[in-house]
Amino acid sequence: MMRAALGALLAGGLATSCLSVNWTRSTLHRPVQDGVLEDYVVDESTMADALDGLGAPLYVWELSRGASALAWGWYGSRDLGVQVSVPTRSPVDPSFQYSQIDRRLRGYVFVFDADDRLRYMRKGYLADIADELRRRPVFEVAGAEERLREREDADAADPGDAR
Amino acid sequence: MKNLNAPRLGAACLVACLALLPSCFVSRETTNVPLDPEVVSQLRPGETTAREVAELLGAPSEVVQLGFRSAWRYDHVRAKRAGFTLIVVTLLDTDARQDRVWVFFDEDDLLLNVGSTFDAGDAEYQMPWMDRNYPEDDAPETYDGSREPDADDAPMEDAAS
Repeated sequence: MMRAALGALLAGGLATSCLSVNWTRSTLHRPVQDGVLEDYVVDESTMADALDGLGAPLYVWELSRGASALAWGWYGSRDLGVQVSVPTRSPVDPSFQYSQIDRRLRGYVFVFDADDRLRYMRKGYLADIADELRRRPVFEVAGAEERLREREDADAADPGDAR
Repeated sequence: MKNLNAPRLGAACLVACLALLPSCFVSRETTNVPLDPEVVSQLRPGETTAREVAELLGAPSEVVQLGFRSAWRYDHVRAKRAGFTLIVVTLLDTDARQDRVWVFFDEDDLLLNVGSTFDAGDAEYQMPWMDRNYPEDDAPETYDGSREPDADDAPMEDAAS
């Protein structure tokens, strides 16, 4: 009897050090409303419209040619799991850094030109969108495509000038 | 017999409560001082200068250069955490919210735009199964924190058109 009790005590002690059942929830910032993209129109909406509707952005950064990108986002997770390990740190990190975009955050990125006119918007993970904007400033590509179309239209209208 | 068991049962409940009490915990983290909406409402685009903004709100947490223009950020973060641990079971909830103000200036340091959000005061101590007190319009989509994109994450070309 005494041996069984000691065994149970030992097993219990070992279990608490390496086995854990965690139910955690973590949220960072208030969620951004769904369907935000429908409220704004590229080439028409302004930065003031976006700030009025969405409030202060989480991030603002500079793009080329005086353009700027503004990002709104949030993070939420709910996990239930069994963990076999020795816990060495908190499972949830509530901290928030401005030095680089938090890769957990989802939301919206709006790009405004030098006149604060909305040129581009997208929903998704903020860090991914920021990376893509750095690699490929889409609003400039869109402008280039527009100029290309205008040139093609001009060439079609006057084939004699076509190069 | 019942009269004899009642005090024992009460004592057992008291002992159980005292034993469980140390396993509950709450904590709060704050960053920067709270922002005052009334002060922010005094900012007038087209009229207020950068110097006046600095006098009203103090030094910003961040300054971003946007070509010849600039944007300043002010923020206050409040994170509330509540948890409960019983032997091998841990319940943990963290709610972090923020007051933010971004002010945008032109090349002459005149205020162009202001964006403000005041949510830090809404952070709550809760358990994971409890509903957050978001406004109905802000009810979050359910997602598990994984980094798989949603089906409605529009590709760049589509979103730009």
